[in-house]
Amino acid sequence: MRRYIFSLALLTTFIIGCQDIPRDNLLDPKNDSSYQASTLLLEAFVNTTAADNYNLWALQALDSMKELYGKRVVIAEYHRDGSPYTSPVFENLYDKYVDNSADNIKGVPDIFLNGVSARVQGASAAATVVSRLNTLLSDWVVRNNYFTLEAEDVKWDDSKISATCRIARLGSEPAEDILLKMIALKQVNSGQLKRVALGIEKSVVISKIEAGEIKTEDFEMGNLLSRPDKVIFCLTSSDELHVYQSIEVNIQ
Amino acid sequence: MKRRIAWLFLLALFLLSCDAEKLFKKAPVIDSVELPERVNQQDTVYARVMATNPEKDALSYHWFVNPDGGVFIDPADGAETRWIARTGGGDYTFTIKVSNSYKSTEKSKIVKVIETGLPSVRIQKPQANAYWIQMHTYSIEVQALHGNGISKVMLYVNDEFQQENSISQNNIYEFTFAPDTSLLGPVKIKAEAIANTTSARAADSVMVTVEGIIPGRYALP
Repeated sequence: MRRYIFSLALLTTFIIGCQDIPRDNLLDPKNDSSYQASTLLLEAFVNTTAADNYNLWALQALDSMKELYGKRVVIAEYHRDGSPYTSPVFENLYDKYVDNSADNIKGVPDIFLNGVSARVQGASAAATVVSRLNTLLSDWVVRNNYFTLEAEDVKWDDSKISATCRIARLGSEPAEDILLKMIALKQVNSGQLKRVALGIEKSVVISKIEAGEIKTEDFEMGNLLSRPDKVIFCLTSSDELHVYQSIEVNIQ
Repeated sequence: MKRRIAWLFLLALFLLSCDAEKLFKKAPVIDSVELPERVNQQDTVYARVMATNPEKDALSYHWFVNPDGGVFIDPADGAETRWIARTGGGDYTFTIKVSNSYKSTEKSKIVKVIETGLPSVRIQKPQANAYWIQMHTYSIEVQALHGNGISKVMLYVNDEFQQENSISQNNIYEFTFAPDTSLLGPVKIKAEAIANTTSARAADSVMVTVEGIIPGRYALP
């Protein structure tokens, strides 16, 4: 009888104490106040065959940024030098970025932060590029981000990459007209060809993602020069001019 | 007929309301005003007016200076007075007003106060340690001031003369400059202002860093 009463008391306590589990995890998309740290995308348009050292200095500065900011920054290098890594896809992207920048003068090295959010063009020493980039990154890296990207099954299958990436919308506002891009990267050498972009694949435009919603995009990318080591997923505006969130993933 | 009478009535009213005596009296005539054309800051300026009075009453005088400033050390209500030039240079308009009991007349003369100090020059744009990129065009704004005005502002890049400008808006002299491929790294931007009258010169400079680029579009094969 005592045991029965004790069990009943326990059950009553449990029922009284039972409420909805509070969704106060900042990374939980179902939490209205959720947000994520930003991972910044630096896209560098370079010409490593030029006699001047400007591009070398810019690439050295990018190495320093990687050392300083670690996983909070991802870097893609687009080569505009007639090497096999030069591509009309990258040229079109550069055209688009330059045309939508305050100064529409082309010239490498030209580094864009999160699309056209900020631009660092030119170099006179690695230190000057570090200084300019650091000023920007230190500001941008502390901004709250309302997207989470998660990649899975990023594989190299003989001649193509296949990958899946999930987008979660955090916070309390929906987002409209976004695009997920996958950039394939290869470290060709440990010098000036560390993060060479080999190709870009885009999802279809996602017209709307509600707060708390998760969407999944599948990618396949073939016709590459060689096997890439990594991919960057970056979520952009549908015109690709603004990058909202990025992640870098090793290819298995 | 009625309209004519109304007009006559109005004219009569007007004449009655006027001081008929004043109407036919003459104003004093200023024959000369003695004033130096140029003085230095803080100089004592002697001013004298010679005037004749067609009427036989006494004349009264009143001196004033525009823009306001400086100090009259004699009363400013005589035919002659002394004024201590203010420290700020520039053009000062002296006006003497001579009156008799009925009317007054006035005359003005400009006295240039020469400011011996240097112009004030400040490069407002670019800011020190700004980054410039080769082939891009940049605006340079220089604020230059002097009591006697600025005759021109000259722009130098790495001490090499580039341009001059004598036209300003609100004392801001604007230039544009596009660093070419010969400039790379730290570059000195200097602006030198020359004052009117004294040709006093003063300069300000800032350092900028010019970043090199390989310009243009890469021609795809």
